[in-house]
Amino acid sequence: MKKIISILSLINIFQFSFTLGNEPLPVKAKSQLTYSEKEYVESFCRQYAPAYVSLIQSSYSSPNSWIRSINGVVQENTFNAQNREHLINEFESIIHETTHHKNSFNGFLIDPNTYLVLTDQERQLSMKFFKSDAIEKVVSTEAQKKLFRYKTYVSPGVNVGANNQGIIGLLDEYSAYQNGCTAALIAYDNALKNEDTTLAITFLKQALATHFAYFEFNIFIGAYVKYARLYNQEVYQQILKLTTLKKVYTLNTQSFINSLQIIQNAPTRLKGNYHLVKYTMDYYNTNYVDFSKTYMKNFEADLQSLKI
Amino acid sequence: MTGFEPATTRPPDVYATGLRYIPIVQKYRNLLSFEIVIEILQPATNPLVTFFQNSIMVEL
Repeated sequence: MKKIISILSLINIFQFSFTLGNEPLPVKAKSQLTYSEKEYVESFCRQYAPAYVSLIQSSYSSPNSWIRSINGVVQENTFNAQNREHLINEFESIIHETTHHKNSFNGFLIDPNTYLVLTDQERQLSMKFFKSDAIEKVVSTEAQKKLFRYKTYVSPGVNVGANNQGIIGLLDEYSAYQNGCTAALIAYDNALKNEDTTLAITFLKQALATHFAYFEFNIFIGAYVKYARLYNQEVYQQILKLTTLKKVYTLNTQSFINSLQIIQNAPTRLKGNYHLVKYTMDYYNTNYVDFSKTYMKNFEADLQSLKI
Repeated sequence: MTGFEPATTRPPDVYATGLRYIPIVQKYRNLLSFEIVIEILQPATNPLVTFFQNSIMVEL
């Protein structure tokens, strides 16, 4: 008995648990008493969006590895995972970039439990597809100017994955925006359950800043399919045969629509606190949602052909 | 609001993956809104081949 008590005492002495917010970090032996940046992020994610912990574990993308520009000015990387404010502010971006990292391994993340990988044949076919900037021909000049993300992702010659990799690159972005937005809304929900309205609104604002990517990327993807149908029948027929790609589009769309529904329900959910976010929601709706939502209707038929 | 070119000085042998582009509204500050771009660069020898080779993304 004495021996057992001694062993238990030793365990007590040599094991520690650190706390970040309300969530304890994993217990470690004294000899391993340093926590990595990833472990701090995991711990935070476990508290507010536990479903996404597995994604962080498998494909974590550190904010300190990004290039970040604000109004065109590159910022110094100063992310500190032991700083709770940093974790809160970077949460949606971390999920977005981590999704990209996960997607770089030949597949597409739908949700943390669903990752669809292209078959070899699908990969071979899609490598011959045209760049996304071809959609210039089927997107009005007005839309090219008004769509917030048009210039960044699909304007002629822009050197980004969404352009260079055609519809595959567009779906990679679609998956990243969807998962980032979904995770932020899960965190919003959990913060509300913890009665932390201020934090909940911070997460909701992160989702708001990206939710209209749903309309924009549906326009880009729909325009890509439309261009193929009108000007490149060979690619069009191949796209229609890419079962995995169609599943990726269909499932990400369902998840994105669920997220949009949660945002629409914010006035009911937040009740008297809705005024804290109303200005932001109205601003995004007026400046980004209204036009893109209407313009997306021009591509409904082609988007429908991608659904399974 | 119009977009701007992210990382205009990017060398031609790399391209941006993992791009995130967001507008932020600041009601109570003088600056009404600003735009944030986050990007990760990857060698652009052949984007499609690179993308499909199970390669580990190069993060700078």
